[in-house]
Amino acid sequence: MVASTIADLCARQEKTVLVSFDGQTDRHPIFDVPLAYEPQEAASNLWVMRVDAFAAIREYVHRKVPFSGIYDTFLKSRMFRDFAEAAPGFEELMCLGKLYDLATDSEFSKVVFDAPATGHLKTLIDVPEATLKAVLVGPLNHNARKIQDLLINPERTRVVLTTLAEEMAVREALELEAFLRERRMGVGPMIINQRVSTRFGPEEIQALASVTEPGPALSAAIEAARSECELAASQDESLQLLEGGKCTLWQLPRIIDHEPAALLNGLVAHLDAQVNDG
Amino acid sequence: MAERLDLEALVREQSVIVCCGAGGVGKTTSAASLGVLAARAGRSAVVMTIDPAKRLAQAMGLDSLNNDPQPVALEAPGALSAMMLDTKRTFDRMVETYAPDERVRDTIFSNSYYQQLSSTLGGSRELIAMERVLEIHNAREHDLLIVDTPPAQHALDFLDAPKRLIDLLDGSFTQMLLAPYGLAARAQFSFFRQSSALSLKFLERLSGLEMLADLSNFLLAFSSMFEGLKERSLRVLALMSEPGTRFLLVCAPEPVSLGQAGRFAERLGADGMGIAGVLVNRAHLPVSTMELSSADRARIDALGNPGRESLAERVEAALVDARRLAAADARSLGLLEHLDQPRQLVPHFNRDLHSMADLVAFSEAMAAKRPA
Repeated sequence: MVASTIADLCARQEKTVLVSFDGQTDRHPIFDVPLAYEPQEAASNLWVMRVDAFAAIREYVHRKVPFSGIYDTFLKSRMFRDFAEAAPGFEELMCLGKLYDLATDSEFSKVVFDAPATGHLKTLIDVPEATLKAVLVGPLNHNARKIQDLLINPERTRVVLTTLAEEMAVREALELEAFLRERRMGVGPMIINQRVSTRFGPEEIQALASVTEPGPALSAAIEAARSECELAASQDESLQLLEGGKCTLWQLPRIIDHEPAALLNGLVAHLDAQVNDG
Repeated sequence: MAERLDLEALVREQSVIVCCGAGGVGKTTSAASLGVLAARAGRSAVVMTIDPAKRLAQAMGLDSLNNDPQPVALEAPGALSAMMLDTKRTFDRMVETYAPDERVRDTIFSNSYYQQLSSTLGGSRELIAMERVLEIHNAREHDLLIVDTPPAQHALDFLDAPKRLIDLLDGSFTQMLLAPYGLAARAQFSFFRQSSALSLKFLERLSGLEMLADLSNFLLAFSSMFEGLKERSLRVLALMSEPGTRFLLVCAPEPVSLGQAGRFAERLGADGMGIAGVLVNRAHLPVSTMELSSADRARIDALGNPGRESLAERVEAALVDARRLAAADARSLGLLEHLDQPRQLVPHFNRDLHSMADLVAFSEAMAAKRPA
C-alpha cells in the first residue's frame, strides 16, 4: 500500500512505473489492473508491472545477442530453467538488471520498487556484490557492477523504509536501516504506516473506567475508547526507538474501511502534505 | 460458519506444526505462543524460525538464537526451547556428512560459488531448513517441533525445495554441464552433441566462461552427494506428509493476507499435506450494535472536562470506529469461506509483546473459546 501511495504521488509530477517481483497474483491489489511483465497503465502517468526473472532474461538476450530468435526454444526449456536455478543469484541479478534498465534506459522518469519483506530484500541487495566476488570477469560481472553502482548511488537510488508503529516492526526497520547504511545505500525517509491518534487523555480513560454497572452499549463504548487510547500509547512508546535516528519520519494514518481507491487517495493526500512540509 | 480451531488439542496431539503465512501477520509470535501452549500442556516443545529477522529471540527474552535449541525460562509442566536456523552451519554439516571423501568436501568448501552464494542454489536454503527440521525431529529430544517459515512465497519454496534440488541434480542441464566431454564427445555427430554444444556456447555467452566453469565444478562436487541428499529429501517429504505433521495457516484479516492463505491451503491440499486450520491474528471482534442512550451520554459527559469537546461524542466516535474495524474484518474473512477449514480468531493486541508474560497472555488469547 505504501509503495502504491508513493508511486501515485510521484506520478503527479513524472511518468512513473511501480514494479514488484510478486508472482502470486495476476492483478494489482490496489489499482486493479493486470500485473504482467509489460507495464500496464494504472492511472494518469502511472504504470504498474511485475518483473519475473525468465521474462527479464529473454528480453536481455533479445537486446544483446544477434539472431537471438534461434535461442527462444532453449530459453523456454527445462534445461535453461535448471541453469537459472542452479546459478546462485542469477535470477535475482536478472530481475535487478531489469530494474536497472527501467531506471537508466526507459520511458519512465521514476521507478518505484515495491520491495519484498526484509529478509528477502537483504538477500536481493547482496546479490550484485556477491556476484562480483564470485565471478571476476565476463558479462555477469559487468552487469553486477552496473547494478551495484546504481544501488549505492544515493542521487539515483533511495530506500524508503516502511514500518508499523509496533516495537518488533520498528526494530526490524532499524536493523534494515543499519544493513543498508553499511552497504553505503541512500536511506530514508522512514514511513510509519497505520498510525493511530487518540481522542482521549489518560485522565479521561481513568474516569470512564470508574463508571459502574454500564449497560452493553456503554460498556462497548468505554472499551472502544480505552482500546484506542491504549493502542495510541503503545505506538508512541514504540516510536521512541526512532528518536535521534538519521531518517526523516513521515506518518500515514490508519484509515478504516475504505475501498482501495479511496484509501489510496486519502494516504496520498497525507503523504503529499508531509512531503511539502519538507 | 467455520468450525473452531482447537489449538490446545493441536499442540497436544501433533509432533510437527509448520506455521505459514505472509509477512507481518504475527506468524513468529504465533509460533512462539504455540510453544508456550504446548509447554503449559506438559509437552516439550521447540520453536524453530528460519526467518532471518531476530524477532523470535526478542519476543522470548533471549539475546539471540542459534542453530541449536536453547531453553526458554517459562513456568510450565512441560518445557520450551527456541532456535534459529543457521544456514551456513547446517549446509557445511550437510556437506561434511554426504561428501564421499575429503577431496570432494574440500573442493566444495573452496569453491567460490559455495562461499558466496551457495545458500541460494536451487532452493537450497529451504532445503537446509528442511534438513534441520528432520535432524531435530529425528533426535527425539522434544515432543513437538514448531516451525516458523519465511513469508508465504518462500514457504511454498520450502515445500518445493527437496524436489527442486533432486530435479536439478538429476536434470538435463546438470548432466550436460557435468559431462560436456563425456557422452556428448563420444556421440560425435549426434544431435545431442550439437545441441549441447550450442546450448553451452549460449550459456557461456550469457554468463561468461569463468562462471560456467565454477558452476560446473560446484555441481560436479555437489552431485557426488546426490544419493545421500535424495534419500534425505524424500524422508523430509515423507515427514511433511505424516499424520503427526500439520500446517497452520497464519494470516491477518486483510484481503492480501487471506488470499495468500487460500493459495497455500490449495497447494497443501494438492500435495496431500495436512492442514490444521487457519489462525487469524489481529482480528477486530464484533462490537455491540446497541446505541448509547441519552442517559449514557449524560453519564459520560459528566466525567469530561467542560472545556473540551463533548466526551460522549468522542466516545461514540471511538465506538463507531470499533464497529467499522470489526465490519471490515468480517467482510474480509468472507474470503476464507470456500476453504472449509477450522478457524480461530485472535483479537488485535493493542500493545507490543515485550516479555514471556505477554506471550503467555497471547497464547491464552489464541486458545480462548470464541466463535470462529
